[in-house]
Amino acid sequence: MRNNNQKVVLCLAKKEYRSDRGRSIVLTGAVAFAVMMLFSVFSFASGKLQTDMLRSARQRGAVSNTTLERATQKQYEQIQELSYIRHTGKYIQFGNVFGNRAAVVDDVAWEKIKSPAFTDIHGTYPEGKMEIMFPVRALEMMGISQPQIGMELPVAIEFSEERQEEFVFRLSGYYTEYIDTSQYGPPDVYFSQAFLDAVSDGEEWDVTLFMRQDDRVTGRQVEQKLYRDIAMRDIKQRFFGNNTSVEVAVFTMVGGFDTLFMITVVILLSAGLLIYNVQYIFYERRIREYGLLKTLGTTRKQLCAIVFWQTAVTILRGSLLGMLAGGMLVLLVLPLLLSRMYLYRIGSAAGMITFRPLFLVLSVLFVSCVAFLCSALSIRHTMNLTPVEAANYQKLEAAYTGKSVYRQKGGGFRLWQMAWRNMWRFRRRFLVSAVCLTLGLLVSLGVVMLSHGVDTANEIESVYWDMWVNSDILNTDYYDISLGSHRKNDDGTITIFPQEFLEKIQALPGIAESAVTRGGFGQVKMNEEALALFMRDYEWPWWIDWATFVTAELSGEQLAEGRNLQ
Amino acid sequence: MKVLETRNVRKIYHTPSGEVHALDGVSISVEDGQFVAIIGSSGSGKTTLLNMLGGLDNPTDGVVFVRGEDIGRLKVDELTVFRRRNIGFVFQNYNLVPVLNVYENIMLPLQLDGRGPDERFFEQIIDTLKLREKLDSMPHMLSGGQQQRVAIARALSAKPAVILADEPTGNLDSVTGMEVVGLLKSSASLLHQTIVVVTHNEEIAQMTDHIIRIEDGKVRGGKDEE
Amino acid sequence: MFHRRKEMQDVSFLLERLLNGEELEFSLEYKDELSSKIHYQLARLSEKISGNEKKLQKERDEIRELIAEIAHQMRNPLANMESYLELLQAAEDKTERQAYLEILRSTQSQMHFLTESFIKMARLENRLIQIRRDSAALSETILKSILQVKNAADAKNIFIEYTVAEGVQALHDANWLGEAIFNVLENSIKYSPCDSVIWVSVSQNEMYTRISVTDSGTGICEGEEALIFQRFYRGKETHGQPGFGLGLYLCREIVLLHRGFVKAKRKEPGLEIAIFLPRM
Repeated sequence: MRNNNQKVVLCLAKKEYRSDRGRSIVLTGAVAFAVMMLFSVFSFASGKLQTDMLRSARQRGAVSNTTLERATQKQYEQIQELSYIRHTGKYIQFGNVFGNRAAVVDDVAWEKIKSPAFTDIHGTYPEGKMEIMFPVRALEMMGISQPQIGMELPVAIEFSEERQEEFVFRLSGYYTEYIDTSQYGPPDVYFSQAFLDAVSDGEEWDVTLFMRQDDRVTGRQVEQKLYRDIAMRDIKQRFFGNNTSVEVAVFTMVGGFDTLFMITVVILLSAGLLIYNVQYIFYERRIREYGLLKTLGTTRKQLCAIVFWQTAVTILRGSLLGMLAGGMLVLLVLPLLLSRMYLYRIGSAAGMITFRPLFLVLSVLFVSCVAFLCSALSIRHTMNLTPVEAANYQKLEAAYTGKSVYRQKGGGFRLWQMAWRNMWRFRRRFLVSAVCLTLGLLVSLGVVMLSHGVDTANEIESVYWDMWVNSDILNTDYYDISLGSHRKNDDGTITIFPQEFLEKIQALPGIAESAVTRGGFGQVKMNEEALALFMRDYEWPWWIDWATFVTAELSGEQLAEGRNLQ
Repeated sequence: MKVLETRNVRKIYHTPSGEVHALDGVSISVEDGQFVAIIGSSGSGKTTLLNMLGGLDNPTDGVVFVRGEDIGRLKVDELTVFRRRNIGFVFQNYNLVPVLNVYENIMLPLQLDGRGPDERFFEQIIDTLKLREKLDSMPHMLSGGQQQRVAIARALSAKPAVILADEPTGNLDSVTGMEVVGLLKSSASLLHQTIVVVTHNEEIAQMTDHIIRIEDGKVRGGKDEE
Repeated sequence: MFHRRKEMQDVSFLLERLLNGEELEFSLEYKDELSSKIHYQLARLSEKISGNEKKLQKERDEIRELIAEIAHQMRNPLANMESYLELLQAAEDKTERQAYLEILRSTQSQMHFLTESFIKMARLENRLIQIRRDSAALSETILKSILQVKNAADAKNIFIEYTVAEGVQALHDANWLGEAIFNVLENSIKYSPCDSVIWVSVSQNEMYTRISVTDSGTGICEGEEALIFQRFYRGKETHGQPGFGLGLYLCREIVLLHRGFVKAKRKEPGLEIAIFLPRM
């Protein structure tokens, strides 16, 4: 049974704690700062993930692009049973409107797959027969800059090459989308099922199923699974599997995980070193006092309890402070930061909640562990001295300073010599300080680099405003380009059309000749003044504002033969 | 009964310039209730001997008995608890815990053991030592003599079996010094405690019941008695 | 859980032994635990109890002895008085009568001294005496005491040499300190041989005023230095000398009340008693 002497330990701890305000401020600050930083970093990483998801979804115009064209009802029902498919929605494109897709989607497709990729959705999805929903971009092309719900719109629908009809619709809603039209085509104009039924004349429209698979299943995997589980109606029907936006984001993040880890380590290390230093100095000053306490009958356990109490109070205060500061940072600053960095021109991150209590708990946990560990390490020195050693400890230091003062008075003892001796005498302290300083410098450098580097994309765009930086190409697995058409080498370079591949192609039956041309893709804005001359006579659909051009390296022979191989 | 006893105690320090024999085979004993002085010049080993008696340091060789107990057998924390319950200390300087006030300093050994104060006894000591007005003061506000008096009050309050005092009058003027020793002496007889005082001052030594002379780590043969 | 119960049971067991009058030895465990602390406290309690008991027993014995001694001591003079009263009654000669009266008077004063000492002791014990340190003329007080023993000293042809440094002053209660010094002197005279010297000297150092009385008499045995100041203690060398062992005890009590102390030192031959009074 424990002795009933807890009160005195608490009393000593409290009084000692209060005797050095400076230390408690520094320690509390260190803990608070570390908690705030860790929490911010974790939230930022998670936020980036979500932002990337958002970005890829918005660029696609849908949360997931796994599709099945010309699906049958039976297939639809079967797919709904599948465990790895979360949502299945029906999509019917029955024509074109001003170059946009005229489409009807069901509830699931709208709520779960399409609308999460849009922002500023005003009004509702069309229900009534003559209701219509437009993307804002299309409305602007039509000259309508201030859309109003309920306004009447004459709309010409091109059902097919032969059939075109005009109706007057009522605007039931409008939305803002950010679709990368050069990759994914034009946005949708939505109609109600009622309207479609009315104009169908019994015609069966092709239903495309939009599927959202479980986030852990990649595009390729889902394709394989679907082929395995669902029978195709004919040889032409195909599944197109795409990574969900989550998968895309995570994939790009994986490269960033080690950065995250490193940052966490740096933050914890810095905080830990600071705490170790401050605690070491504090308790070293008190060696004599602790020696006296030991003499009077304070066991090591009790002394450790004093240190523990003081550390615990610091951690508690620091964590609370850090949680507050971190919380404010994450709730107020983070969304703005993320928008600016990653959602450039793709809408804002407003409304996106990146606050995860788990991260807060984890940061507090990590920092607490580090703080306790470093405090415990810093007192080992103090705790293990015998009372006699403790009493003499002070005398040693005093004797030392006395000597050097004397010598200085004697003349001829230079300051730098003293400094060097001081440094070398307390080697450990010197090393720790040096490491701390280096870390600090590294961190500052990293921060500068990070903020600067991220801006490069924007920088390029602002200077070269007719260029768009797209770095996605080699990150995702465009398996439908071809398998193994590019190979990552050991030294990090990428070989496009490696030799094995070429040989395989040439070995295929029916191939007579093949050649490889090198070149590059570029995209140019259509409203470039320089191109205006060429565009004059050509009518491009309004939503195409980028043209992709290809430059290819041609040999003299090829030019002569007029051939153009890719 | 022998309350303190050493048998052939040695303490050897290893310094860069060779071995130093602070204590070289010291065998002494102190009876219950005696007021004893250990006297020697600076560097004679008297403080080292006191440290051995108080369990503040371990002898290189030999045995130390306190209250019949071989304190070398005790583990560090056990020895600390032993000290807490059986030995009181008064030092030449740095006697008080700087963050506690006078009252808390006096109560410290008792509180460390979770024991309450003997109210009447405490009042007695406070009055005798003239500390009543100073109970709330912090150590840095007291004079050297006052600090010593607080240290004595602390040593007495816990009513230990032995009180060890290392040059308790070293930093004091003679009047205060005499006060201090007189107090120790009267409490020795009143409370039947054993008190060992280390000093280099011959006059103080003459006030004790029994003198142990030490020189160069050895006890001089033929203990003088006064 | 069970461990706690066992610890409580151990404590109860120890208490039982204590109640039964056993002496508890100190535990060999010094843990920072409640059970260890209680064990230690019980051992100290046991020590205190047995110490008290021994002290009580000793005092009882002492009182018994004292009563017996007093009775014994009283009996002699009383018996003497009886016989001499009878003789007085029967005496016809004036000189005879004178002689008998003298003897009766001395016997009576002996008894008077006895009872007075007894009363003083009782008063001291009950702290009914107040020491008033209002006199500074130490020398005067000492001289007075010397004068008081002069007769006894002369009877044995003992020479008292008194040395005092210049300007020695010490606050003291003249009556009581005088009495204390008187007791010491009386003792010295009692145990000194005839034709010897008793040295009385007063000196001062920074801390104390020292009054020492040194004789070259029978002295005391080794180890008795502290004992002679105890109540009723008769030294081993006191063969045959009358006394109750109260003189030095009273002296010490008085000096303690002066916040000073007394020390005895063997002189071989003889004894030195030193009274230290604080300089204030």
